[in-house]
Amino acid sequence: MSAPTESERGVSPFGWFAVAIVVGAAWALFMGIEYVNTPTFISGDLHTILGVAAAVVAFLVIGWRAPPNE
Amino acid sequence: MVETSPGAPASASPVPETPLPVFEKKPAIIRFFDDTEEAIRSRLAKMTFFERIFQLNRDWMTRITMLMVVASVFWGVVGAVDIFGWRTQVTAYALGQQLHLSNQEIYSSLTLHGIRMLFGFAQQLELALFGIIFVTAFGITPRHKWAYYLSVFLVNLSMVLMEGPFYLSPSFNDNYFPALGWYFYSPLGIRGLSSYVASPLWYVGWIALCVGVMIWAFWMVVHFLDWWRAHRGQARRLPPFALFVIATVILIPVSYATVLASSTWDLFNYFGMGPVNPLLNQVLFWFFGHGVVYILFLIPITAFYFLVPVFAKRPIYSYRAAVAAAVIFTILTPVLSIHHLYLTPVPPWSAWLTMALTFLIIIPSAITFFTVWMTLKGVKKNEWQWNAVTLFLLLSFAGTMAGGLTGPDNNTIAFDIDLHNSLFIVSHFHAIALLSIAAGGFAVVYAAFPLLAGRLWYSPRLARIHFITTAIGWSGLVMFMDFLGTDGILRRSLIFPRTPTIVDYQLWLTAFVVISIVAQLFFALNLVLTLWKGEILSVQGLSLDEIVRKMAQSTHPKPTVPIQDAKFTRSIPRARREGVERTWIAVVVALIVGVLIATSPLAYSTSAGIGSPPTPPAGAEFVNLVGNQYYWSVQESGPIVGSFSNVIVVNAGQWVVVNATASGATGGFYIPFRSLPTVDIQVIPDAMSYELFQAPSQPGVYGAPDSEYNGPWFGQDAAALVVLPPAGGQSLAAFQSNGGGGDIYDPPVQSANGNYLIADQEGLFEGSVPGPTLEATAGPVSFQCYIPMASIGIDNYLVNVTSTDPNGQVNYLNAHNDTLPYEFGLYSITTTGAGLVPVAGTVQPLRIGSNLPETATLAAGVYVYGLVTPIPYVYNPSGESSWMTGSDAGNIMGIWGILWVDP
Repeated sequence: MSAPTESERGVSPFGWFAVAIVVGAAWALFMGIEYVNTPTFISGDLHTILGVAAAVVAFLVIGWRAPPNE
Repeated sequence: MVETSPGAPASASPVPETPLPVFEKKPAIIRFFDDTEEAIRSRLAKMTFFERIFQLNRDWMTRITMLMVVASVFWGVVGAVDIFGWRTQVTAYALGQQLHLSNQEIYSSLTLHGIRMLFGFAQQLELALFGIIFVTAFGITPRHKWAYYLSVFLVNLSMVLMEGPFYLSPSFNDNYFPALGWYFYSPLGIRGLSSYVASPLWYVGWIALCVGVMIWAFWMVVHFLDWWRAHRGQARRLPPFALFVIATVILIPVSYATVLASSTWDLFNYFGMGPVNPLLNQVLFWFFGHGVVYILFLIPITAFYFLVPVFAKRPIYSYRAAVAAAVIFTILTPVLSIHHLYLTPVPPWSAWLTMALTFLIIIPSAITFFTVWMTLKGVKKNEWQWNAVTLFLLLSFAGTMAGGLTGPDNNTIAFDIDLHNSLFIVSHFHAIALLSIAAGGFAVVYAAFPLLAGRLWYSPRLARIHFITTAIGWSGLVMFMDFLGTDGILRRSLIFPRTPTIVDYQLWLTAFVVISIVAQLFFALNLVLTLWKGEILSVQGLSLDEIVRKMAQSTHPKPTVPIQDAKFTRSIPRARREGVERTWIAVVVALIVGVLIATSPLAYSTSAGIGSPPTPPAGAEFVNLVGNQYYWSVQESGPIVGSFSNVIVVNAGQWVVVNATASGATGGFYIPFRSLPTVDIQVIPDAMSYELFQAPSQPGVYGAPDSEYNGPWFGQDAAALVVLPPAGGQSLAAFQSNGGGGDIYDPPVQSANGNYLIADQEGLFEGSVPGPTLEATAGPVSFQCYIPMASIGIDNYLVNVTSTDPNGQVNYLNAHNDTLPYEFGLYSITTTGAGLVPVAGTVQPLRIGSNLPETATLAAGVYVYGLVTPIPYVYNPSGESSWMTGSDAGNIMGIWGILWVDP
């Protein structure tokens, strides 16, 4: 693969959509974590929030390591 | 793109219609309609205004699509006016200012906002765009024009019918708009079953909507079968976006069949026919209520599968993954009804099964967003253009993450209790409805509208301003809805605690709603300018993908990326790409199974606890609770015995067993504790709900509003959990210092002596229900209350609005020396069966416009002040209540509170 030219440098659409994933997912996780001080948080929602967080990380890691759409 | 399959429908030449035998003529009625339409069309086409807006010189499919676009914009504008009306009243309430609308108008504006935005605007736009894209992409010559026209007519007629009747004479009166939910909570609104009665046109409107949308779906099926027969043996596979259009076509009849059944059932009940089963009716409705959200969610999904490959100039990453997503979406969507009813007494196995299935529906979304994202991998910066289409796709992508990833929180049954009735849900829903669905919809509109108009977008700058202001407005309103919800603020309630933080959040929310509305003006302006001044669109020699890029390019100020298709050759084998997809799906499935295993025990026990009587711990208090329109009946046995209205009396730390039901409408007994487990007991007529909770260990007065909307006096329908002090009394200092359990609805604590409580136009003391908790020390206690004449109006329930005379309320008061037939006083809370016992010398007639002094020498203990009996109220301005227009009645208790006397 050749080095990127001047006009190819910068954040690709793949990168920008990754940013969208991170921003959207961070907001969603924040919405759940806001309940951290409620007494039912640990027993009621922590598993779900950890599951969502793990899925987001896996999404990004698998996508980043995957071969391109070529 | 070169990776197209033989027979794949991309800008293929139109399929010729099967020629009709020469002797076969159209039926006379069709000829009449054709001739009439042609006469109207040709006449209007001579006027530039109509010709441009409705494209009257184009083919019928373009004309009807433009009509649908115009109609959807119209309903969108009306829906925006609705929410603006609601927000003006919420803002006025927050600031303690005069409200200008009646409760009926205020709550119906919210109902109709949802109806018009979801069905008049979003869904109609979806049908319009899916229809035209479908026939264009598949090269189909559309047939059955009048079936399509009938569908559009019924959809728009339904919007008019659901609004209900209003009067122009003798004076304009629109107070009978349907103040229901955006959907409805059976039997709310049904004559003979509910105190609030909607017009039967509401239910007829639902039926019209169902029939209209189903006709559209069957029209699509007929045309798809036309295409399928014509290409039998040639087509190997459909383009991915078409799979989701087909999913929409399948889901519409499946989902709408259930609301057709529940609406017809309601209509029969309305006229006193047939059995009544509110819970079953609600379950039936929610098969639709959930399905319709996914039908609309298929807008952004289809947009991603259609547009991302077009702008990336390469095929989707994995076709098989897209097929799997479409199939799973279609199978799972119709069966998730009960996840909207987790707090109602449904069998625990059904709640658990729905939770499991709801977690599973994450899979097709996970596949879709991974596949779409991976489609972009390898696209270089200079190969991609950030025009309005791709910017809205980006917003929709982020918005789906923000809204969709809060879905698992809602679906976790044990956590749902904290979220179910709060603005958290509204925030989650608007993240999906606006940031995901509507953003995806705008991407499609920016990509497709020039094809309808025959002109390129006029102003890239307006498109960009529209995107930026929309993104800011929508994100802001989602944020502040969440902040309010996290504090426990109820969805859909005009009455809320006016603490500085909540008032600030409400004002910010209104500001972002206004920004969101103003943002759409930029879009509307660009739309009109495009129709009049846009450059003529020439598609000669262009492929469908190139046409889309050309149209989108007109929303970019300085386009540099060529619109021409680029040669694409696969270098990564399919097996490797599908291996990545499989890895991702395996991770998602593993995580879902893990979360399901971890959450199931508590989910099952929570559901079981709602639907079956608990085993009472020793010393528990037993409470029989009935939710009425608009107050709670309480009967207690155990250590404390008594009957009360709107008050539950318990000892500190005592276990409380609640058996609860409702009459007239669904309700909810809600105490949004934050330092204790939230209590939210959903009650449904003809069903029993159960709850076991431990009362706070800190004596005090805990606010408990009704969490489920049950009619226009929903906001006044609030109770209090009174946790008694130990023998000898105790001050509220500790209660206040620990924040009253974190319950935002705790009435504010004020000093009793010298206090002067003034009622407002909603018939409440200082906007709080219960009114402020007054605190005094044992001995002489003296304070005054006052109900100003100016507060008496249609929202102050104290004087019935029953007269045909617009000044009837004032005339009544003049004729009765400003005195109402109710008693106002101080009452001691007893715990041995006598309930509330009047304090000698404190009970007096309720007079409007006169001071109501309360003076007594009191021992330490807990008392109730004010009007402690629900009073009957009939709302009938200008005497226009009837079975056809609707009516409202009920029993309301709003000007009361707790007097807490310290040792």
